[in-house]
Amino acid sequence: MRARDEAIREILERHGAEAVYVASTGYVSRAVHAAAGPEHVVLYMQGSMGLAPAIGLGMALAADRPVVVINGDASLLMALGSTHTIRDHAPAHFFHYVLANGCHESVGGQPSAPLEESYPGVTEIVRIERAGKPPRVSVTPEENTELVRAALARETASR
Amino acid sequence: MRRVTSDSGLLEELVEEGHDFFTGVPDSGLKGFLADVWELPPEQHVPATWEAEAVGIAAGAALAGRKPVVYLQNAGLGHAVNPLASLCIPYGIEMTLVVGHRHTLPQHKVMGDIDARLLELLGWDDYVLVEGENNEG
Repeated sequence: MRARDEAIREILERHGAEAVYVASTGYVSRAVHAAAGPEHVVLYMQGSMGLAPAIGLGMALAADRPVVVINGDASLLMALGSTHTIRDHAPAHFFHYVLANGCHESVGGQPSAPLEESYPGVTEIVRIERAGKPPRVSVTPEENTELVRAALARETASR
Repeated sequence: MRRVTSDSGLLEELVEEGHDFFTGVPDSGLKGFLADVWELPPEQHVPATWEAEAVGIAAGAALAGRKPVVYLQNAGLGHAVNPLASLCIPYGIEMTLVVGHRHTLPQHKVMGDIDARLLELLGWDDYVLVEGENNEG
C-alpha cells in the first residue's frame, strides 16, 4: 500500500515533462492536479468516467510524445474492454497506471470490486490508501484542451 | 447533419473532407462503408469494443490534431451520449458520427424514432445518418 500523492509523484517523476498525461475522473484528476508542476501537461478528464485509457490511446496513436494515463480501479472496471483495444493497438509510448484503493472514493467511498493481479493493457496497478478529498482542479476544460492540443502538436525533439 | 440512403462512396467523401482517423463499433447498415474502412492502414483505423470507448479514442486523436470519424449503430448512441455530453462538448472536441439508422425490429423501434432528435437535443450536429436497406433486417 502506497500513499496516493507519493504514488502520483513517482509516476510524474518517472515520465517527466516529455509525456502528456491523462488523469481520470474525480479525485484522481484532483490529486494529479495537486501533485503536478507547471512543467507537466495533463488532460484533467473531469467527465466521461472510464474513458481515460481510450483518450490516451487516441493521443498516442496520433502523436509521438509519450502518453501516460493515470486511472482508477473502478474506472478501469467500467471500461474493461479498453484493456483489449490497448493490448492490440497501443504503441510502445503509451503507459497506463491504475491507482487501486478498492472503492469509489470520489463519490463517498462505496466499495468497488477488487481487481485481479494484472490486466492486458495496464502498465502497473499501484495499490494506494484512501487519502481524502484534494482541492478542485482549477483549470477550465477550454484552457485545459488548449494546453494539451499545443503540447501534442509539438515535435518530440527531446526524445 | 446529413441523412443518406446509401453508404456507397461515404468513406471516400469523408476522406476528401479531411477525415483521417476512424474508430467505432460495426453495424450491418454500414457494411459497404466498413468494408472500405477495414482497408485503411492501421494508423488510421482502430476498432473499439463499445461506442463510448470509440468516442474516447476519437477525442484523443482529435486533441492530437486528427479529424476523426466514429461509426456506430444507433443503438450505440446510448453509450455515446455521456462522452459527447461530458467530454466532447465541454472540452470543444470535434468528431463526425456515422450512424446506422436501424428502426424496424422491436428492439430498434424506440431508438429508431429518436436517434436524430436525441443528437439534436444534445446539440451534436456533426453526424451522418445512414438509412440503407441493410437496416431493415
